[in-house]
Amino acid sequence: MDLLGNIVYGFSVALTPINLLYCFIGVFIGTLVGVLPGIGPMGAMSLLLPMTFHVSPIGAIIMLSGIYYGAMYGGSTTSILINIPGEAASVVTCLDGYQMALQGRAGPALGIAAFGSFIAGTVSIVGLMLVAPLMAEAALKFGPPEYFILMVLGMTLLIYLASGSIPKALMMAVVGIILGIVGIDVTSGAQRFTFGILELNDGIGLVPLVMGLFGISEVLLNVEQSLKREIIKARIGGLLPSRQDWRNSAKPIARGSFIGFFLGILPGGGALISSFVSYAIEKRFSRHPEKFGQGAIEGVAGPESANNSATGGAFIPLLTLGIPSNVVMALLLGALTIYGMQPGPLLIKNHPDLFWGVVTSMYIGNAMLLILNLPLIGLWVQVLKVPYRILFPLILLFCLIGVYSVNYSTTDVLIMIGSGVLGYLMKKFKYEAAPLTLAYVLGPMLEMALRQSLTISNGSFSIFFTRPISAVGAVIAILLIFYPLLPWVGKRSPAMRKGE
Amino acid sequence: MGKADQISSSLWFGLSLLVMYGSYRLGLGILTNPGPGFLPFWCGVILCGLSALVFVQGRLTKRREGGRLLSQLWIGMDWPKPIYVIAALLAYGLTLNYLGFLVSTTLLLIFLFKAIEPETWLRAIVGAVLAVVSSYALFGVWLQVQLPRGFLEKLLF
Repeated sequence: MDLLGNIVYGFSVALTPINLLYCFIGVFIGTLVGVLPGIGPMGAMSLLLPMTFHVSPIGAIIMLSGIYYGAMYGGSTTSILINIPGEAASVVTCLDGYQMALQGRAGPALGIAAFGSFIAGTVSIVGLMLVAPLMAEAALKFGPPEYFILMVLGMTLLIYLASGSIPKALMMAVVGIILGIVGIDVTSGAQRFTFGILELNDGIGLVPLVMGLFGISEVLLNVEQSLKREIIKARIGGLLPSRQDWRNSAKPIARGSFIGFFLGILPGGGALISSFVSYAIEKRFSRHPEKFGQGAIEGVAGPESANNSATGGAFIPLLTLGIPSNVVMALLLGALTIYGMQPGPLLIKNHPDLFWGVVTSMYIGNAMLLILNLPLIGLWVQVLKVPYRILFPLILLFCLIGVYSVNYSTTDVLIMIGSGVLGYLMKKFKYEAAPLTLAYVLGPMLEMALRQSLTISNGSFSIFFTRPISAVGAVIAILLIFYPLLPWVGKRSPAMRKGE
Repeated sequence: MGKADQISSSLWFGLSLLVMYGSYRLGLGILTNPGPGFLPFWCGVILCGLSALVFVQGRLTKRREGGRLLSQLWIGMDWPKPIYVIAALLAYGLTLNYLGFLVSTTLLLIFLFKAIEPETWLRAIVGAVLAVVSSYALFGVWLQVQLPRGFLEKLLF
């Protein structure tokens, strides 16, 4: 089937009434969590994951993906209106978006963020359609050593781009691998670190772990401080940007779309990094860099386009190699595995309905988001007024029901609470949960690939350096690991320095 | 983060020793046929080394900054609130099967509405009951999630 035929087939899957409904639910919830500070896309996806077990795998992935890219849209609303990013990738939008709002230009800021996101989302979907099949073709030649090194490289890049201490991020990746291999070893049948608890024989569940680390911990952090929200009082009107606004934003949107897509593909890249890079580039390209931070529309258009485009790019390594490039993709990988699908080079061939259906649903979802975020902006402003003291018990309630409904097990509830406390303390002590989660998901696959590689090579680690693809990956991973561990450069990672 | 890093890295160091011991007992195997303890053992070794590194970094930072107290992580924060929430959640997790979803969740929500930023009793009770009934209707009835009935099972069902 040619590309056009695949796209038509994808639309035939995505446009079924039930999948349209799942797409709408996904983007709606995504916008909602993007708007509400205190619960990010990861928390919302983990919260809804147990609910998706009742629907078809395609509908579930359409909905979960919708939450992810929907949150990117919603995140800009809070950044612009209350100077609090709804999710991490919208941090940089605060700089100029809020200034525009203070100058009475909240409407054009919200408008250009939504239009930029739509255009960039479209570019990244087209890129995904073109690049993913080629990547899947190439990945068919990969063996266990290549997979092992690619997984190590993915984790290393995520660690290298971590926002805090690199040794700490590395520690969390190691802890994630250890947590990932709890349970019965599939090769030897030995029980590993189960401590005689029957429920742990199948391992620590993905749902209780991520709900605890991202949902419960966020609630614990938020209840100890009161979130100050000062919403712009003026009426938000004139959402359509002026001709001058479009002239100023056209190139930033185009650049942001491409930067976001390619950084999204890179393991560890994703929406946050691409929005920072886009902002830096726009400032450098601008004839008036002094206006950045004072309400320059380019400072909203570029990063908002980049963070949206990155979401499309991030799907490529997941759907073609089965390797998640960031923590949200790790959750999707876990979800696909639970649904009995193995992401990898054969996914497009074996499940074309899933691949093309999900990809085209993103296009439909982007169109829905444009409608949700422009004419319905008033609704989201009202949502912002819901006090956190009402919101957090309801978030906890959803977490508790969600985690219980997976296995009908109170052990899972207790694991979630334990993970929540761990996540809370990790945030206090500046340890990041993202490397832990990614390593937890990759841990069992990593171990399998390592064992197979060593068996093939008769116990020699040289196999990772004698095959060209794995050798290149291994050298990059080693450089990335050891360079920051040198004491004089190891204190802070590039992302953190960039953030400053 | 000097003092805090020292404390947290000591805990990770202790965990790494336990992991190494447990993995060694599981069996490391040989390189051509790695055993179930092979990967966790080496993860333990790496964790051990990294936690030692973070401990040393913490010690150096402490000397440079004059030693920040651990309590400074919670300065300006309403620190008892997370403790209340954790305690309430733990009590909920431990009693869910006995009290059942309806009773335990109503009690939990009343506590959360009252304890964190106090609502009036009427608002807390009405809010909790409404949230529990609507979530039971959504999950228990519509999505047919088998929520635990606890002691009410014998009384009502």
